[in-house]
Amino acid sequence: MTAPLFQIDNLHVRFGGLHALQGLWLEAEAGQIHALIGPNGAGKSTTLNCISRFYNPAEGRIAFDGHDVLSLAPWRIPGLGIGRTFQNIELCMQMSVLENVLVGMTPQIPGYMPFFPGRKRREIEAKARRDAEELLESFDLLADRDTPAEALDYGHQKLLDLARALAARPRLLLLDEPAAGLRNQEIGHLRTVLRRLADQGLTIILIEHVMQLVMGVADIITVLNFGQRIAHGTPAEIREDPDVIEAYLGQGDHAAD
Amino acid sequence: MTNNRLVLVFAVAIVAVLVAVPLFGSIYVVFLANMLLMYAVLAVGLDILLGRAGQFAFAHTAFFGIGVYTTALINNHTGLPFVLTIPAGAAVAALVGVIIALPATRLRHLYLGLATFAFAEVAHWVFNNWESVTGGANGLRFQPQNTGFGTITNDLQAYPFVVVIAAFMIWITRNLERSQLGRRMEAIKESEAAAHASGISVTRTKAVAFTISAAYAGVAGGMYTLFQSYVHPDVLGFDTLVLILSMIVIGGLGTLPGVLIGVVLLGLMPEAMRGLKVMQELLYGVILIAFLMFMPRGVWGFFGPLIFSRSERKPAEDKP
Amino acid sequence: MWTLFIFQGLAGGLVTGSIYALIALSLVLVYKSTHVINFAGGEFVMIAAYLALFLLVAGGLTYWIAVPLCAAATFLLGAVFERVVLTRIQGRQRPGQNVLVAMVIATVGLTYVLKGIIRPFPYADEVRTLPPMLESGPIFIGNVVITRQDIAIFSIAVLSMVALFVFFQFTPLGRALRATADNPRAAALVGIPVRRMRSFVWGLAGALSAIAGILIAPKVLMTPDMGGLIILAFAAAIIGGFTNIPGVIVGGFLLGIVENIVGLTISTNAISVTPFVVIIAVLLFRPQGLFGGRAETKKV
Repeated sequence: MTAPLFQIDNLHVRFGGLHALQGLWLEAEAGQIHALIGPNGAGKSTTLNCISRFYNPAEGRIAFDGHDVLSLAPWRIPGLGIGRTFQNIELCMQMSVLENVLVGMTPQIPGYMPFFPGRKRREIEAKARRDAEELLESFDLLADRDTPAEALDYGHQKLLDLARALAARPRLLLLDEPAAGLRNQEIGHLRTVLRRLADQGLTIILIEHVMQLVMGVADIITVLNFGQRIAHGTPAEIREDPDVIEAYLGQGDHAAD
Repeated sequence: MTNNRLVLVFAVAIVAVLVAVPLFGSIYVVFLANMLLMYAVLAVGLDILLGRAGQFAFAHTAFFGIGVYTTALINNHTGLPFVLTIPAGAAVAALVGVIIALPATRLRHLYLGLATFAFAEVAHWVFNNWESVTGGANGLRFQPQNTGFGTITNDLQAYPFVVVIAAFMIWITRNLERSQLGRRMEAIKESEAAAHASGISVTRTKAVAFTISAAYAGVAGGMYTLFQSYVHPDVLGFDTLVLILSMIVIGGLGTLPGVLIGVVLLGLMPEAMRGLKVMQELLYGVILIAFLMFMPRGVWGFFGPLIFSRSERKPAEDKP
Repeated sequence: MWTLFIFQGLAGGLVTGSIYALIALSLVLVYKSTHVINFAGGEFVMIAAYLALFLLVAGGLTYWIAVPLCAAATFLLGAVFERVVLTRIQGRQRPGQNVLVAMVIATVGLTYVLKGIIRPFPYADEVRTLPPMLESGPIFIGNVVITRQDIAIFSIAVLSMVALFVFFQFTPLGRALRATADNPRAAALVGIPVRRMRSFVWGLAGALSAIAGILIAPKVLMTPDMGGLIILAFAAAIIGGFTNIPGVIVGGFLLGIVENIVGLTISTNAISVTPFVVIIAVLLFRPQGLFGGRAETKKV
């Protein structure tokens, strides 16, 4: 019996007196799109922040490909093969589109040799540039390669955030509300992109409120409420689940399609 | 004129000025040029930390002083050529930079600024009081520096070496700008979260920026010993720190041309105001404030986009 | 012998410390409201001291008139500087890092302006001091010496801080100021004139500096460079955790005491470097100051 590619076990997070996550457990396999949904404050972003090591959980285990994620510093996570996007689009706004992707490729570009502009460095840089441009091309952002990130419209900034996360060739991608603020057309585009990535073997864990995206793209859904896991299953199962319906009705209707 | 042509024109102009100074200028002009070149290295070094890595740290004059005293003392005692003594000074400064960097990376913004400023002032106090080593308030005299082919005894002889050192440091900066390390620094300035998520160790990158910046200050300290004959702790204090800071902020934080423009502007300002002895201080403050009010992104931020148009990139491919 | 040092240091320290606390308060006031570090705080003190000197000696006025006049003058100075220079630098948006640095450097520029204004005056060429407020005459508490002037200084400083507290807690203007510092956008929505509040805060800080200046001038000798004592205010503020008002006040007293003890036990030469060492020590070992506190779950 093989262990799952990614596993969270008994995760507890406390902020002062608030027990934000209570014993969460979760598994994901290669090529799977796993959505994490729930009302506001349920602990979804907290989970993601634990995986990317921005938070220190009080208890629990997170394992990826046999590695103990919780033993690593935040900056080692991309090198392990885990990438993430941000709800607030954390981009380097004054840097160009291309430079943002190059930043994302840090695990592949050794950083400490600026003073010896020899041939080796030029080769590595040139290859990195080509890879970055290829990535931008697949997102239709190549034309904007020299534009400062702040000059892009919101939808394109979200795509750039995604491109940056993919630049280090992750095997697990964490997405924090990728559809927030997008128009219907853009959501459809996102759906296609995510499906394509998963088909290529990328595992995706996705926090989302926009049900249109969740129901359309997720293989598996885990539902959180008040820090606890309350449901788990396929989109069809979740849609019918009485606990889920009650959790959402209790908080106002987020299941707008 | 295309951007590339403009850059070429400016480069030629700068080289022309650099050549003209020793040929046609008085010894005082050569001295001024030496000073400006040294300030250029100081300012560029500080800009790497402030403008590129976004770390508002103000310990720069401490490292400058360390560079001056180390280079001078090694030279005074051993007479080794400057190609050895100056890197030695820079290395000691960089070492202290690393030591400072480790606790400093834990601090942010206001606290970082205050802690590093406090360090600079403590260093200044040490320079003033550690008489056995630094000569204290009496200053330290320099023996003439050894070039390997003879010694340097005046500004004119120092000049070509000063130019070469400054050019080298600026060339390194240009390389840094375009390298992944430069991008890492900018990333931690723009968004620490994005940096972490991109695999950048924010702590290490900050420490590297600190060390590089300290090394630059150390080199500048070594340059000082080339064309000056003694040092007094007065030039290693708050006023110099403010001067360098003004140069980079008024010139254009984070931009190499901007910083250099700032060096020339603020480096020559005391000369321009020489006649107005009493008013100097007041005028300096007024000019500082005026620049900040009317060109908050610096001279380069203001004039740069006007001179170098953006319309000359390859025509963008049509978006589908 | 040692206990005498300690107690003397304590007494003297409480007096100078009360002034440091006052200056630190004006620093923190400005910082909390506008996020700007006023490097020119020390020069405000200096200007007020010289103005007082002029009014008292050349004008023959009494302290009762001179002090309010000085306070009004520095109030204007602060408010005008904020309105003319800082507002302009800030522009329309919320200040980002670079803009804040520019504003701080503008205050540094202001230090040169203020020093440059005073230095040409004949008053500034020698070290001066203010005429005493009260007849001198030492008072003995146990073995410790303090003067009537010291007691007056301490009382006025403490009274000012109390007045400030009352102002902020119980007056409508004070509440409006706190609201503005806390959440400028919400304050604007409720109808508070945010820009005017900012100018007012700067003016208030200026006025506080005036009081501090007149109190401290007899203790330090007056020179155009006396503004360097702002570093003591910084140290006090850092000890207190910078945004914690009671902490800052305690920090001021602590610093005054430490400074005095250092002067009595180590050397007078070491006094000038004490605040810097204190700053480094606090930031190294307890950056949030004695009274700040922060849970460390977040790493970023």
